[in-house]
Amino acid sequence: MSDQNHTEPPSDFALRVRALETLLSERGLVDPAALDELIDIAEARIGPRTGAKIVARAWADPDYKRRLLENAQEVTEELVDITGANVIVLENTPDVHNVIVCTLCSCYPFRLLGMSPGWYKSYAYRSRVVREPRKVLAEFGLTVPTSTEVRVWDSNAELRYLVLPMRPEGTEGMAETDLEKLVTRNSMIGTGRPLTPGEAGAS
Amino acid sequence: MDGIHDMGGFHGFGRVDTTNETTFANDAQRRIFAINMLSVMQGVYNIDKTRYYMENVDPSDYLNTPYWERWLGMVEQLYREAGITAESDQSEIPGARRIPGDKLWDGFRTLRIPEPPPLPAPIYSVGESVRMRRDSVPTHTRLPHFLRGRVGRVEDYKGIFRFADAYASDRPENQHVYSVRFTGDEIWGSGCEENTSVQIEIYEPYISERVAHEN
Repeated sequence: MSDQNHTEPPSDFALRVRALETLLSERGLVDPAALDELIDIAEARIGPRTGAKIVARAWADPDYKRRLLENAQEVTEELVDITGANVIVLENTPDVHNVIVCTLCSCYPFRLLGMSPGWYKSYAYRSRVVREPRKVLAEFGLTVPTSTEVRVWDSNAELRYLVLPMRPEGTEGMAETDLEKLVTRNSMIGTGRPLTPGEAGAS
Repeated sequence: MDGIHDMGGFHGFGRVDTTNETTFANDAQRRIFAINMLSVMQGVYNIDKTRYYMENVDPSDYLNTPYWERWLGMVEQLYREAGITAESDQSEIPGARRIPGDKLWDGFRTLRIPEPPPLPAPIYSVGESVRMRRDSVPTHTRLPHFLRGRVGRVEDYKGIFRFADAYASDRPENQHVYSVRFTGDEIWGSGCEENTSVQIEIYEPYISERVAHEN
Protein backbone atom coordinates (compact mmCIF):
# COMPACT_ATOMS: atom_id res chain seq x y z
CA MET A 1 0.00 0.00 0.00
CA SER A 2 1.48 3.37 -0.97
CA ASP A 3 1.64 6.56 0.99
CA GLN A 4 -0.62 8.95 -0.89
CA ASN A 5 0.70 12.08 0.78
CA HIS A 6 3.76 13.25 -1.16
CA THR A 7 4.03 16.75 0.26
CA GLU A 8 5.65 15.45 3.48
CA PRO A 9 8.14 12.63 3.84
CA PRO A 10 6.61 9.59 5.52
CA SER A 11 6.82 9.70 9.30
CA ASP A 12 9.08 7.39 11.25
CA PHE A 13 5.94 5.55 12.20
CA ALA A 14 4.94 4.95 8.58
CA LEU A 15 8.48 3.88 7.67
CA ARG A 16 8.63 1.42 10.55
CA VAL A 17 5.22 -0.05 9.70
CA ARG A 18 6.33 -0.51 6.10
CA ALA A 19 9.60 -2.11 7.17
CA LEU A 20 7.73 -4.52 9.44
CA GLU A 21 5.20 -5.48 6.78
CA THR A 22 7.99 -6.00 4.24
CA LEU A 23 9.92 -8.21 6.65
CA LEU A 24 6.88 -10.32 7.50
CA SER A 25 5.75 -10.77 3.93
CA GLU A 26 9.25 -11.54 2.62
CA ARG A 27 9.59 -14.25 5.26
CA GLY A 28 6.27 -15.68 4.15
CA LEU A 29 4.68 -15.04 7.54
CA VAL A 30 1.84 -12.82 6.37
CA ASP A 31 -0.09 -12.64 3.14
CA PRO A 32 -0.38 -8.92 2.24
CA ALA A 33 -3.77 -9.79 0.71
CA ALA A 34 -4.93 -10.89 4.18
CA LEU A 35 -3.97 -7.48 5.54
CA ASP A 36 -5.95 -5.77 2.76
CA GLU A 37 -8.85 -8.07 3.56
CA LEU A 38 -8.80 -7.21 7.27
CA ILE A 39 -8.78 -3.49 6.51
CA ASP A 40 -11.71 -3.96 4.16
CA ILE A 41 -13.57 -5.94 6.82
CA ALA A 42 -12.90 -3.20 9.38
CA GLU A 43 -13.95 -0.36 7.13
CA ALA A 44 -16.61 -1.85 4.90
CA ARG A 45 -18.10 -5.09 6.22
CA ILE A 46 -18.58 -4.63 9.94
CA GLY A 47 -20.39 -1.68 11.46
CA PRO A 48 -23.27 -0.45 13.60
CA ARG A 49 -25.93 -1.53 11.10
CA THR A 50 -25.28 -5.08 12.28
CA GLY A 51 -26.09 -4.15 15.87
CA ALA A 52 -29.09 -2.09 14.73
CA LYS A 53 -30.65 -5.13 13.04
CA ILE A 54 -30.36 -7.07 16.29
CA VAL A 55 -31.86 -4.25 18.35
CA ALA A 56 -34.77 -3.72 15.94
CA ARG A 57 -35.59 -7.44 15.98
CA ALA A 58 -35.46 -7.47 19.78
CA TRP A 59 -37.89 -4.55 19.85
CA ALA A 60 -40.24 -6.24 17.42
CA ASP A 61 -40.08 -9.84 18.63
CA PRO A 62 -40.36 -10.57 22.39
CA ASP A 63 -39.25 -14.18 21.94
CA TYR A 64 -36.11 -13.11 20.06
CA LYS A 65 -35.42 -10.52 22.75
CA ARG A 66 -35.73 -13.11 25.52
CA ARG A 67 -33.33 -15.47 23.77
CA LEU A 68 -30.95 -12.61 22.94
CA LEU A 69 -30.69 -11.54 26.57
CA GLU A 70 -30.23 -15.13 27.68
CA ASN A 71 -27.57 -16.12 25.19
CA ALA A 72 -26.65 -13.60 22.54
CA GLN A 73 -23.92 -15.78 21.06
CA GLU A 74 -26.49 -18.31 19.93
CA VAL A 75 -28.96 -15.93 18.30
CA THR A 76 -27.09 -13.12 16.58
CA GLU A 77 -26.33 -15.44 13.67
CA GLU A 78 -30.02 -15.92 12.95
CA LEU A 79 -30.11 -12.35 11.73
CA VAL A 80 -26.68 -11.22 10.65
CA ASP A 81 -23.90 -13.06 8.83
CA ILE A 82 -21.38 -12.64 11.62
CA THR A 83 -21.27 -14.36 14.98
CA GLY A 84 -21.45 -12.21 18.08
CA ALA A 85 -18.82 -14.54 19.53
CA ASN A 86 -18.47 -13.42 23.13
CA VAL A 87 -21.18 -10.75 23.27
CA ILE A 88 -23.63 -10.09 26.09
CA VAL A 89 -26.67 -7.88 25.51
CA LEU A 90 -27.62 -5.43 28.28
CA GLU A 91 -31.21 -4.22 28.37
CA ASN A 92 -31.93 -0.61 29.30
CA THR A 93 -35.08 -0.15 31.41
CA PRO A 94 -36.64 2.77 33.28
CA ASP A 95 -34.62 1.58 36.30
CA VAL A 96 -31.21 0.96 34.73
CA HIS A 97 -29.26 2.74 32.00
CA ASN A 98 -26.23 0.76 30.80
CA VAL A 99 -23.09 2.24 29.30
CA ILE A 100 -19.91 0.48 28.20
CA VAL A 101 -16.24 1.36 28.45
CA CYS A 102 -12.85 -0.32 28.62
CA THR A 103 -10.79 1.54 31.22
CA LEU A 104 -7.70 -0.63 30.72
CA CYS A 105 -7.44 -0.50 26.93
CA SER A 106 -10.08 -0.27 24.21
CA CYS A 107 -12.22 -3.45 24.21
CA TYR A 108 -15.36 -2.87 22.16
CA PRO A 109 -18.05 -5.10 20.58
CA PHE A 110 -16.50 -4.50 17.17
CA ARG A 111 -17.95 -7.58 15.50
CA LEU A 112 -21.42 -6.07 15.91
CA LEU A 113 -20.64 -2.32 15.96
CA GLY A 114 -17.55 -2.03 13.76
CA MET A 115 -14.40 -0.19 14.73
CA SER A 116 -14.66 2.05 17.77
CA PRO A 117 -14.71 5.84 17.39
CA GLY A 118 -11.80 7.96 18.60
CA TRP A 119 -13.65 9.24 21.67
CA TYR A 120 -14.25 5.70 22.98
CA LYS A 121 -10.48 5.18 23.15
CA SER A 122 -9.77 8.66 24.58
CA TYR A 123 -8.20 9.07 28.00
CA ALA A 124 -11.02 11.40 29.05
CA TYR A 125 -13.72 8.81 28.34
CA ARG A 126 -11.80 5.87 29.80
CA SER A 127 -10.84 7.70 33.00
CA ARG A 128 -14.05 9.57 33.68
CA VAL A 129 -17.04 7.46 32.68
CA VAL A 130 -16.58 5.02 35.58
CA ARG A 131 -16.31 7.84 38.12
CA GLU A 132 -18.70 10.49 36.84
CA PRO A 133 -20.86 8.79 34.24
CA ARG A 134 -23.68 11.29 34.52
CA LYS A 135 -21.37 14.20 33.71
CA VAL A 136 -19.85 12.30 30.80
CA LEU A 137 -23.27 11.34 29.42
CA ALA A 138 -24.30 14.99 29.69
CA GLU A 139 -21.35 15.85 27.44
CA PHE A 140 -22.99 13.57 24.87
CA GLY A 141 -26.27 15.46 25.40
CA LEU A 142 -27.82 12.64 27.39
CA THR A 143 -29.41 13.28 30.78
CA VAL A 144 -30.40 10.23 32.82
CA PRO A 145 -32.71 10.96 35.78
CA THR A 146 -31.22 10.13 39.18
CA SER A 147 -34.08 7.69 39.76
CA THR A 148 -32.45 5.57 37.03
CA GLU A 149 -29.25 3.77 37.99
CA VAL A 150 -26.37 4.42 35.61
CA ARG A 151 -24.55 1.10 35.37
CA VAL A 152 -21.12 1.30 33.74
CA TRP A 153 -19.79 -1.95 32.29
CA ASP A 154 -16.00 -2.05 32.23
CA SER A 155 -15.14 -4.55 29.47
CA ASN A 156 -12.02 -5.91 31.08
CA ALA A 157 -11.93 -9.56 30.11
CA GLU A 158 -13.31 -11.90 27.45
CA LEU A 159 -16.89 -10.66 27.15
CA ARG A 160 -18.10 -7.73 25.08
CA TYR A 161 -21.29 -5.80 25.73
CA LEU A 162 -23.97 -4.40 23.47
CA VAL A 163 -26.62 -2.12 24.98
CA LEU A 164 -30.24 -2.78 24.01
CA PRO A 165 -31.76 0.70 24.25
CA MET A 166 -35.40 1.27 25.15
CA ARG A 167 -37.75 1.34 22.20
CA PRO A 168 -38.77 4.94 21.49
CA GLU A 169 -42.35 5.96 22.08
CA GLY A 170 -44.60 6.39 19.09
CA THR A 171 -43.11 3.44 17.20
CA GLU A 172 -45.95 0.97 17.69
CA GLY A 173 -46.63 -0.96 14.53
CA MET A 174 -43.48 0.26 12.75
CA ALA A 175 -41.82 -2.28 10.47
CA GLU A 176 -38.55 -3.79 11.64
CA THR A 177 -36.64 -2.20 8.77
CA ASP A 178 -37.92 1.23 9.84
CA LEU A 179 -37.09 0.54 13.48
CA GLU A 180 -33.52 -0.23 12.41
CA LYS A 181 -33.13 3.33 11.16
CA LEU A 182 -33.81 4.65 14.66
CA VAL A 183 -30.95 2.73 16.24
CA THR A 184 -27.83 4.86 16.56
CA ARG A 185 -24.40 3.49 17.35
CA ASN A 186 -24.15 5.54 20.52
CA SER A 187 -27.48 4.15 21.73
CA MET A 188 -25.85 0.69 21.62
CA ILE A 189 -22.83 1.96 23.61
CA GLY A 190 -25.07 3.75 26.10
CA THR A 191 -23.89 7.29 25.34
CA GLY A 192 -26.99 8.12 23.33
CA ARG A 193 -30.64 7.30 22.77
CA PRO A 194 -32.31 5.97 19.64
CA LEU A 195 -33.83 8.53 17.28
CA THR A 196 -37.54 9.26 17.45
CA PRO A 197 -39.48 8.63 14.23
CA GLY A 198 -39.61 12.41 13.76
CA GLU A 199 -35.83 12.77 14.09
CA ALA A 200 -35.22 9.87 11.72
CA GLY A 201 -37.58 11.38 9.16
CA ALA A 202 -35.80 14.71 9.36
CA SER A 203 -32.29 13.27 9.04
CA MET B 1 0.98 -3.92 36.73
CA ASP B 2 0.44 -0.41 38.06
CA GLY B 3 0.64 1.32 34.72
CA ILE B 4 -0.72 4.49 33.20
CA HIS B 5 -3.12 2.40 31.10
CA ASP B 6 -5.11 1.63 34.29
CA MET B 7 -6.66 5.09 34.22
CA GLY B 8 -10.21 4.51 35.45
CA GLY B 9 -11.06 7.31 37.88
CA PHE B 10 -8.07 9.53 37.06
CA HIS B 11 -8.65 13.26 37.11
CA GLY B 12 -7.39 15.85 34.71
CA PHE B 13 -8.16 14.51 31.23
CA GLY B 14 -10.88 17.09 30.64
CA ARG B 15 -14.06 16.87 28.60
CA VAL B 16 -14.69 14.02 26.22
CA ASP B 17 -14.35 15.19 22.62
CA THR B 18 -17.60 13.53 21.60
CA THR B 19 -17.08 14.59 17.98
CA ASN B 20 -13.88 12.55 17.56
CA GLU B 21 -15.04 9.78 15.25
CA THR B 22 -11.62 9.04 13.78
CA THR B 23 -10.82 5.34 13.51
CA PHE B 24 -7.72 5.57 11.33
CA ALA B 25 -5.89 8.78 10.50
CA ASN B 26 -3.62 7.30 7.81
CA ASP B 27 -2.71 4.13 5.94
CA ALA B 28 0.13 3.19 8.28
CA GLN B 29 -2.40 3.03 11.13
CA ARG B 30 -4.60 0.74 9.02
CA ARG B 31 -1.64 -1.53 8.28
CA ILE B 32 -0.49 -1.88 11.89
CA PHE B 33 -4.06 -2.66 12.97
CA ALA B 34 -4.21 -5.39 10.34
CA ILE B 35 -0.72 -6.76 11.00
CA ASN B 36 -1.52 -7.14 14.68
CA MET B 37 -4.96 -8.66 14.21
CA LEU B 38 -3.69 -11.11 11.62
CA SER B 39 -0.78 -12.07 13.88
CA VAL B 40 -3.20 -12.89 16.71
CA MET B 41 -5.47 -14.85 14.34
CA GLN B 42 -2.45 -16.73 13.02
CA GLY B 43 -1.36 -17.68 16.54
CA VAL B 44 1.95 -15.79 16.49
CA TYR B 45 1.10 -14.47 19.97
CA ASN B 46 -2.01 -14.11 22.10
CA ILE B 47 -4.11 -11.03 22.67
CA ASP B 48 -3.30 -10.78 26.37
CA LYS B 49 0.37 -10.43 25.54
CA THR B 50 -0.43 -7.58 23.17
CA ARG B 51 -2.14 -5.72 25.99
CA TYR B 52 0.69 -6.42 28.41
CA TYR B 53 3.34 -5.19 25.99
CA MET B 54 1.37 -2.07 25.14
CA GLU B 55 0.90 -1.05 28.77
CA ASN B 56 4.46 -1.90 29.80
CA VAL B 57 5.93 1.37 28.49
CA ASP B 58 7.05 4.72 29.82
CA PRO B 59 3.85 6.46 30.95
CA SER B 60 4.75 9.64 29.12
CA ASP B 61 5.18 7.70 25.88
CA TYR B 62 1.83 6.01 26.45
CA LEU B 63 0.07 9.33 26.88
CA ASN B 64 1.83 11.15 24.06
CA THR B 65 1.68 8.50 21.34
CA PRO B 66 -1.36 8.29 19.04
CA TYR B 67 -3.52 5.22 19.65
CA TRP B 68 -2.46 3.00 16.73
CA GLU B 69 1.16 4.08 17.00
CA ARG B 70 1.25 2.56 20.47
CA TRP B 71 0.62 -0.78 18.77
CA LEU B 72 3.74 -0.67 16.62
CA GLY B 73 6.40 -1.02 19.34
CA MET B 74 4.45 -3.91 20.81
CA VAL B 75 4.20 -5.80 17.50
CA GLU B 76 7.88 -5.19 16.70
CA GLN B 77 8.94 -6.50 20.08
CA LEU B 78 6.75 -9.61 19.89
CA TYR B 79 8.21 -10.54 16.49
CA ARG B 80 11.71 -9.78 17.75
CA GLU B 81 11.13 -12.20 20.63
CA ALA B 82 9.87 -14.77 18.15
CA GLY B 83 13.20 -14.45 16.34
CA ILE B 84 11.92 -12.56 13.31
CA THR B 85 14.33 -9.69 12.70
CA ALA B 86 16.08 -8.14 9.72
CA GLU B 87 19.35 -9.58 11.02
CA SER B 88 18.14 -13.16 11.40
CA ASP B 89 17.06 -15.33 8.51
CA GLN B 90 14.38 -17.10 10.51
CA SER B 91 11.08 -17.58 8.73
CA GLU B 92 9.27 -20.06 10.99
CA ILE B 93 7.31 -19.38 14.17
CA PRO B 94 6.40 -22.57 16.05
CA GLY B 95 2.65 -22.95 16.48
CA ALA B 96 1.77 -20.19 14.04
CA ARG B 97 -0.06 -20.75 10.76
CA ARG B 98 -0.40 -18.50 7.73
CA ILE B 99 -3.93 -17.47 6.78
CA PRO B 100 -4.27 -16.66 3.08
CA GLY B 101 -6.31 -13.57 2.20
CA ASP B 102 -9.10 -15.53 0.54
CA LYS B 103 -9.68 -17.68 3.63
CA LEU B 104 -9.82 -14.85 6.11
CA TRP B 105 -13.40 -13.58 5.94
CA ASP B 106 -15.05 -16.94 6.53
CA GLY B 107 -12.87 -17.59 9.55
CA PHE B 108 -13.54 -14.13 10.93
CA ARG B 109 -17.27 -14.22 10.29
CA THR B 110 -17.92 -17.57 11.92
CA LEU B 111 -15.60 -17.24 14.92
CA ARG B 112 -16.84 -19.03 18.01
CA ILE B 113 -15.26 -19.10 21.42
CA PRO B 114 -14.11 -22.69 22.04
CA GLU B 115 -15.44 -24.57 25.06
CA PRO B 116 -12.89 -24.39 27.85
CA PRO B 117 -11.81 -27.48 29.76
CA PRO B 118 -13.72 -28.04 33.01
CA LEU B 119 -12.55 -26.83 36.42
CA PRO B 120 -13.56 -27.74 39.99
CA ALA B 121 -16.80 -25.99 41.04
CA PRO B 122 -16.74 -22.20 41.48
CA ILE B 123 -16.19 -21.00 45.04
CA TYR B 124 -18.63 -18.09 45.12
CA SER B 125 -22.35 -17.83 44.41
CA VAL B 126 -24.66 -15.26 42.92
CA GLY B 127 -25.90 -12.85 45.60
CA GLU B 128 -22.80 -13.05 47.76
CA SER B 129 -20.69 -10.03 48.65
CA VAL B 130 -17.02 -10.43 47.87
CA ARG B 131 -13.90 -8.35 48.45
CA MET B 132 -11.28 -7.88 45.77
CA ARG B 133 -7.70 -8.68 46.63
CA ARG B 134 -5.43 -5.74 47.43
CA ASP B 135 -2.29 -7.21 45.89
CA SER B 136 -0.83 -5.40 42.97
CA VAL B 137 1.00 -7.71 40.60
CA PRO B 138 3.94 -6.38 38.58
CA THR B 139 2.71 -8.22 35.48
CA HIS B 140 -0.49 -8.03 33.41
CA THR B 141 -3.81 -8.07 35.23
CA ARG B 142 -7.37 -7.14 34.36
CA LEU B 143 -8.43 -6.03 37.83
CA PRO B 144 -8.46 -2.22 37.63
CA HIS B 145 -6.69 -0.44 40.50
CA PHE B 146 -9.89 1.33 41.55
CA LEU B 147 -11.47 -1.96 42.60
CA ARG B 148 -8.66 -3.33 44.75
CA GLY B 149 -9.92 -4.01 48.26
CA ARG B 150 -13.50 -3.02 47.29
CA VAL B 151 -16.56 -5.09 48.02
CA GLY B 152 -19.06 -5.92 45.31
CA ARG B 153 -22.02 -8.23 44.80
CA VAL B 154 -21.78 -11.29 42.59
CA GLU B 155 -24.55 -10.67 40.03
CA ASP B 156 -23.88 -13.55 37.69
CA TYR B 157 -21.58 -16.46 37.01
CA LYS B 158 -20.28 -16.25 33.43
CA GLY B 159 -18.41 -19.53 33.03
CA ILE B 160 -14.80 -20.56 32.52
CA PHE B 161 -12.50 -18.34 30.50
CA ARG B 162 -8.86 -17.98 29.60
CA PHE B 163 -7.16 -16.23 32.51
CA ALA B 164 -5.67 -13.10 30.96
CA ASP B 165 -3.09 -12.61 33.72
CA ALA B 166 -1.59 -16.03 33.00
CA TYR B 167 -1.84 -15.99 29.19
CA ALA B 168 -0.04 -12.63 29.11
CA SER B 169 2.96 -14.50 30.52
CA ASP B 170 2.44 -17.52 28.23
CA ARG B 171 0.91 -19.71 30.93
CA PRO B 172 -2.24 -21.39 29.67
CA GLU B 173 -4.65 -21.28 32.59
CA ASN B 174 -8.41 -20.95 32.85
CA GLN B 175 -10.52 -19.52 35.65
CA HIS B 176 -14.12 -19.06 36.69
CA VAL B 177 -15.45 -15.62 35.88
CA TYR B 178 -18.14 -13.76 37.80
CA SER B 179 -19.93 -10.55 36.90
CA VAL B 180 -19.62 -8.35 39.98
CA ARG B 181 -21.29 -5.01 40.64
CA PHE B 182 -19.78 -2.26 42.82
CA THR B 183 -21.75 0.80 43.89
CA GLY B 184 -20.35 4.22 43.09
CA ASP B 185 -20.22 4.95 46.81
CA GLU B 186 -18.12 1.83 47.52
CA ILE B 187 -15.58 2.78 44.87
CA TRP B 188 -15.43 6.55 45.02
CA GLY B 189 -16.69 7.41 48.48
CA SER B 190 -18.81 10.41 49.33
CA GLY B 191 -17.92 12.27 46.15
CA CYS B 192 -19.59 9.70 43.92
CA GLU B 193 -22.48 10.53 41.62
CA GLU B 194 -25.87 9.45 42.87
CA ASN B 195 -27.21 6.03 41.89
CA THR B 196 -24.29 4.82 39.78
CA SER B 197 -22.38 1.56 39.69
CA VAL B 198 -19.63 -0.29 37.87
CA GLN B 199 -20.12 -3.88 36.76
CA ILE B 200 -17.16 -5.91 35.61
CA GLU B 201 -15.89 -9.43 35.02
CA ILE B 202 -13.93 -10.80 37.92
CA TYR B 203 -11.71 -13.86 37.57
CA GLU B 204 -11.99 -15.98 40.70
CA PRO B 205 -8.38 -15.33 41.88
CA TYR B 206 -9.16 -11.58 42.02
CA ILE B 207 -11.45 -12.25 45.01
CA SER B 208 -9.79 -12.33 48.42
CA GLU B 209 -12.77 -13.24 50.58
CA ARG B 210 -16.48 -13.54 51.05
CA VAL B 211 -17.95 -10.69 53.10
CA ALA B 212 -20.94 -11.08 55.40
CA HIS B 213 -23.82 -8.79 54.46
CA GLU B 214 -24.02 -5.71 56.60
CA ASN B 215 -27.60 -4.90 57.69
